[in-house]
Amino acid sequence: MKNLVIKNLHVNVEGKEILKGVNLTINEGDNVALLGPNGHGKSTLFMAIMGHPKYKITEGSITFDNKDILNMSTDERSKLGLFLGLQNPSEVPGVNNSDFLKNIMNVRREKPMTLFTFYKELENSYKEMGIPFEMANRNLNEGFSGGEKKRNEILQMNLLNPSLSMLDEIDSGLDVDAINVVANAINKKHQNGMSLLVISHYARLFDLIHPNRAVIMVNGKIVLDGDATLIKRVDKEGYEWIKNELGIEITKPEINKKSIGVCATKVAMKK
Amino acid sequence: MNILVKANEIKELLITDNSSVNFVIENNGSLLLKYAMFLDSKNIDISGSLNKNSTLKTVVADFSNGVGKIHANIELNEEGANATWDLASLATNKDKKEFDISFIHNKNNTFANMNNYGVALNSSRLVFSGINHIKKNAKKSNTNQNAKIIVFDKDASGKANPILKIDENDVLASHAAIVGRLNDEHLFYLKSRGLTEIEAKALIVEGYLKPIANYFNDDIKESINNKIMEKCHV
Repeated sequence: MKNLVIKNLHVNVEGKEILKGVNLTINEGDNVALLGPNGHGKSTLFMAIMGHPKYKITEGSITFDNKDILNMSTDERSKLGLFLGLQNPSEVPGVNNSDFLKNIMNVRREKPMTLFTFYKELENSYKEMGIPFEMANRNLNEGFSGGEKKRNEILQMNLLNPSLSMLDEIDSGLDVDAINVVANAINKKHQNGMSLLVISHYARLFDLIHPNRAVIMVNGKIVLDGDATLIKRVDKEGYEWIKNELGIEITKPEINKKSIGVCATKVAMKK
Repeated sequence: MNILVKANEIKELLITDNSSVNFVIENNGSLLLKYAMFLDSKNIDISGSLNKNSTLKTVVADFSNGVGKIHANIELNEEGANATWDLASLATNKDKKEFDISFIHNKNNTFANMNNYGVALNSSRLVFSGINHIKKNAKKSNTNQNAKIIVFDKDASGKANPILKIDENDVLASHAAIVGRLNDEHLFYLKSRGLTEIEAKALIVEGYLKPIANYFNDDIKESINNKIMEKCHV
C-alpha cells in the first residue's frame, strides 16, 4: 500500500524548531484536509516531505510506500509518486514552459515520448485546465498571474500522475470558475486512486473536493485527527475552541518587524 | 581576414577557427557573419564599416574554453545601414571571457540591435560591455542593447555594462541588462518535479543558449547541444 507514514517528525528552519513531533499517516486513497492557524507548520511539513534543503530534519522518520524517503533526493521522491503543489511557485527565468513539461514527463519514462504524443497530451491538459495553449510557449511561471501559476501547478499534477498530492493553498488567487476547474481536476485524479493532503483556509475548496478526514496542526504538532465535520467547525468558529477543549495554548507566530522607512522610523520602532 | 562585400552583393561567412575579421560592406550589400567557437578562447577582433542601406547580421555562439576577449567595433557610416549582433556565451571552470562590443552611428537613419546572452558556471567570469554610440549628425537613428547573464555557482560571476552614448536629438535608444543568480528555490522547484540537479541546470542553460543554434547548420547545432550537456555535467 502506498501509505505516507510520518513519525515524531522534528524540523528546524534556520535554527528554529518549527515541527515538534508530527505523527501522521495518510493511507492510500485518503483525502485529507490539513488545517491549522497561520505560522504553525503546515507548509513546513510539505517542504520537509519533499526535501527542501532549508528544512532540516532533526528527529523522526517519513516513509512512503514502505520506503524511507529521508535518504532520497527531492527528484527521487517526486519519481516515487509524491507531488507538491506550491503556494508560491517559482518563476524560473529562461526555461520555456513546454520544454519544462516535456522534460518532467520524459524523466519518468524509459523512452522519450514522440513529439506528437506530447503535444496531444499537453493540448488536452491545457484544455481541461482552461489555460490558453499559447501559454505553453511562455517561460515557466514568468509573468503568470497568481491564478495562472496555480492552474499550472494542477496541470503539472495531471501530467505527472502522482500517487499522493500535497496541495498548499492551491485555491488562493483563483476566481470562482477557476476553483471549480481545479476541484474537478483534483476529483478526477482522486477517483483514479490519487491520495490527497490539502491545505486551505477556505471551506469552499473542501466543499468541492469532499475530504474523508481532517487533521489540525497547532504549535508544530497534529493535535486533532477526525472526520470532515472538523472543517465545518473551523470554518464557523476558528481555532479558539481548541484552546478551551484541548487545553492547548496557541502561540502567535512571530512577525519580523521590517521597516522600509527612513532612519527616524527605525529609531522610533526601537523605542 | 579582410572581407569586402561589394555593392548589392550578399555574402555569408562561417568562422570556426577564432580568426579576426575586418570587413567593408558597400552600398546595398549584405553580410551574415557567423562565429561558432568550440576551441580554446583567444582574443578576437571584429571590425568593419557599413555603407548606404547595407546590412550586417552577426551571430556568435561561444562555447570556447579559457581566457579571451572579443572586441568588436562596427561603424554605421551611411544612411540606412543596419547592424544586428546576437551572442550566446557559456563560461565554465576557470574561464574568463570578455565581450566588448561597440556600434557607432555616424549618419542619420542608422539602426543597430545588440543581444548578449550568457551563462556562468563553476568559478568562471563573464563580462558583457556594450557601447551604442549615436554621434552628432545621426538623427532618427535607432539603437538597442539587451544583456542577460545567469550565474550558477557561488564562485562564478557575471557583469553587464550596457552603455548608451547619445550626442544627437531625435533618436531612439534603449538598453536593458539583467544579471541573475540561480537560487535554491528555482532548483528545488525543478527537482520537486523529478529533474535531477544536472537535468535542472541543463534545462536552464538550454533556455538561455539554445536559441542561437537556430542560425547554424545541423553539425554545429549538434555540437552546441553536446557542449551544453557536457559542460553541465562537470
